Amino acid sequence: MTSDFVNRLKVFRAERNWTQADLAEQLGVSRQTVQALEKGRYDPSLPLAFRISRLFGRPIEAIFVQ
Amino acid sequence: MNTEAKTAAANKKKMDDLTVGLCALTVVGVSATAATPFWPATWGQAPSIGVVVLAAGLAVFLALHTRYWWRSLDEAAQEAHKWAWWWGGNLGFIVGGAAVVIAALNGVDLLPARVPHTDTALIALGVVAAFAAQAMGYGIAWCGWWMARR
Repeated sequence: MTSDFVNRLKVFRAERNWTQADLAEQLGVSRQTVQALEKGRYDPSLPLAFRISRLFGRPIEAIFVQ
Repeated sequence: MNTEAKTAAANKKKMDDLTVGLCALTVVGVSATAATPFWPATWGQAPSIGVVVLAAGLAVFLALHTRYWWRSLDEAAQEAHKWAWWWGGNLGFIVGGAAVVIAALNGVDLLPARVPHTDTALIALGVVAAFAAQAMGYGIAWCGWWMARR
């Protein structure tokens, strides 16, 4: 149940000293969803990927790497 | 507050408003005891207007509440429910249906002894068994989806 992508969500979140709950609130998703995303066990939709991209100020391909 | 959080809060407010509306409707349902007019005689004794209003209101409440609840979920939560609905519901139905058929073919009486064994009771048993099996499969699949993503 792992994604074909690796992602750097946890790294970018840690750089900002955000908890999973902080990130979840800013993305408008649940903490469980953030946890699944970080562990690479759930691939976000394109709209959510863009929201993540905007939030961290990085292009999508810098966050999700194949 | 971002757009997603605002939408979720708006949906929650709508659900709260609906609940208040249902409470008001319940008061009407309990107090309006006059028989429902124009009730066809072939349908048996007419229920009170309050019961009819309450039943119709409950149906609308459930439909709208489900809609707003669904919109308040994030995409992963929606995905978990859709996955559980398809896999859990279908597999639960197949397994549960097979269990009921095998039990019936082996002479197991699934109806409680005090319930008259009429056709209506047997059909109701089938409906309840199918629903219970799907609900159980749904629940297991939903838990499994989230457990696999912890």
